[in-house]
Amino acid sequence: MTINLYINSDDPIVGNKTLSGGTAVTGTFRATADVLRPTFTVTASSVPSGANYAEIPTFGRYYYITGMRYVTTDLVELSLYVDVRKTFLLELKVNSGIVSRQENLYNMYLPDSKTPIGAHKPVNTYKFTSTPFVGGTSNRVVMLVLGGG
Amino acid sequence: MSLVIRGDSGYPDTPFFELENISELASCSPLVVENSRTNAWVINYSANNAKIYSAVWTAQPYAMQLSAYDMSNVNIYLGSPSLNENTHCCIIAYSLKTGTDSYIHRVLWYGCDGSAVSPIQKTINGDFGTQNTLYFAISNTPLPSFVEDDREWDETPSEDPSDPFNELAQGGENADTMDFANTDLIGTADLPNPDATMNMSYGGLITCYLLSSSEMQDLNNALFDAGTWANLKNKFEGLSDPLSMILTAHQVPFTVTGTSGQFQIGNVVPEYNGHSVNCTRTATRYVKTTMGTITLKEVFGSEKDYSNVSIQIYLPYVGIKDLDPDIVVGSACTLVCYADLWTGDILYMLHVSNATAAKKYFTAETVPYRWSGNCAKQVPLGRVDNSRMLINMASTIASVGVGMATFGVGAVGALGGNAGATAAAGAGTSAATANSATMKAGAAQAVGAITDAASAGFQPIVQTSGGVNGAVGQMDLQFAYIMVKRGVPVYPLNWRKQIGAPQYQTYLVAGLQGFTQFAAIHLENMGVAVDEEIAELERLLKTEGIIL
Repeated sequence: MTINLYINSDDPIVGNKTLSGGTAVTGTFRATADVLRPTFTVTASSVPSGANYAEIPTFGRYYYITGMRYVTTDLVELSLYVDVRKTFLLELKVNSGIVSRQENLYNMYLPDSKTPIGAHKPVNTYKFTSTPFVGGTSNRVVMLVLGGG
Repeated sequence: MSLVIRGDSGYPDTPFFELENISELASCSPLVVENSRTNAWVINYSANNAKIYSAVWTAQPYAMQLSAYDMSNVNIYLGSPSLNENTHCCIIAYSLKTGTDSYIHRVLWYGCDGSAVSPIQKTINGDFGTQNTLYFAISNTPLPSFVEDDREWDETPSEDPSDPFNELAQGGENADTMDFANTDLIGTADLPNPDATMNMSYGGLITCYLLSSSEMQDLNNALFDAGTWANLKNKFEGLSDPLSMILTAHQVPFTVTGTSGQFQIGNVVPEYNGHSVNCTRTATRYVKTTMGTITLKEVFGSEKDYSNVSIQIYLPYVGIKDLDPDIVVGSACTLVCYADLWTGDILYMLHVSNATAAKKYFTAETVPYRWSGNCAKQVPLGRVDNSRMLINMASTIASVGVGMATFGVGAVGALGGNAGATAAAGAGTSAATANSATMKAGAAQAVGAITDAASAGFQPIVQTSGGVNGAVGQMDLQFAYIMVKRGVPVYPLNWRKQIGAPQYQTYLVAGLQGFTQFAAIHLENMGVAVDEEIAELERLLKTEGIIL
């Protein structure tokens, strides 16, 4: 069985991770292997420096290296945990779902509780350009009389 | 996505499509106009609005009538056939007319599913499902201005009597299918204008005069003129309060025009020293003033323009009133003022229209606000009427004189006449002394009677008209303004890459790029994934999200 060891620099939530420094390690499992959480022991020299990611083509899955324990000076035990995002990315893409937040496709008119409002609240004033009122009172008295003729 | 379709007035059957808030297209590269084609679609994605044009080969998109690309009996307006279907999105719109039937208009969208099948062929094959349908209509009249897509909630219940969903109302059956275009518009032309009806003339029964300060002085002099009152009293028998013919006197802070003329009251021209009072008389009662238009634009282009916002308007002679951001933001607000010259009453109307604002997806034009106030400052009028005083005095003296005659006439006669005096004198000093005391008592009594009468009717009567009021508004600002207080949202750099922005739509995952988080997703056809992995993936997509 071949296990490919990689260095992953992407965020764990990235789906299609860019992997570098691939090193293939061949061997056999000596005990029961959990497909989702396999553990295997390899020679320390075969593990590239900084390796934090793995692929087991036989299992058809990608894994995070979640633990590295040196059994002896020359042997290191690697604990893996399946990366469901990268492993099933192609299958995921043919599905549909209700998106709640998105980087590019969004509706800014939906309420957003994750956007804080600053305490400072500027006040803007907009004047209407005209007014019928001539600064206080006009200089005439309006008098309504009966029988004005 | 919302689709706005506008019928070109010149070509009602060849619609011009305008897409707003296109989310599906944002993840795809814009279609490229091929120089060799004249009927290519160009989708110019910018600021959530995209316009679809039929572009000429110069690659400059112009808003044009769409050209037809014939294929059999179907006229298809389609994008470039050389689409890269893995990265591009395609809009297909076609109009089908068979014989004399009405046009069938349909708009489909197709994007990024990795299929190598031509979108044209998929259209012909009928491979596009209802989920791809943006718009469908049967019409040979100008198209509506708005349509929404995928209104699943207005589906009617099934005809299956055993369908349990028929037992309960699902809601939406009687909805108006988001028919936002069905609205009445109230324009500024609907606002009344002071006309002959509002400014009805009352003939000579009631006349409105405008007097300057010097004209007021002339009137004051004329009102005190004896001749004026004589004329008024002669004309109006029993008129005891001439000022009651002056209905009101006040100042208002706005002007009206009028014509020059003589001041008349009761058809009598008050005069002073032979001169009448010349002033301005006006037939105008109501004055309408459009005070201007303020367009409150969206500042943030988001729900933050409507929440955490306080909007108030200050109106002279009314004060400060609140405005609803949902109504006025993104709208043109026109303030109209009506003033009543006779009473000083003021009515403000705020006309709101978003016909010119692009942000709202429907057109509204109405008058949602009106406020009233009063701007008149009363002018107290008064005059002193001594006529009643004189009458009372004469009456009192007459009554007192009778008493004096009763008490002392004889004594006076005795003093004044020789015979009487002699007799009085002859009668002795005691008679004269007695008469003098009587006279003194009579005089004192007469004085007392006069004094008593003075308290009752020897005082002038003060006639007044009008009153005094504060008119506080005249000490305040004389122009209106709108005041907006906004809470400012904080957007860190590249915040959408970190946490995404709100959305609530169904998308194919293949059409998404960047940070994505789901409200709900049910994974199917997951290959070799076991239940635990499927559950974890669904959980991660809804909690932490994924960067695609």
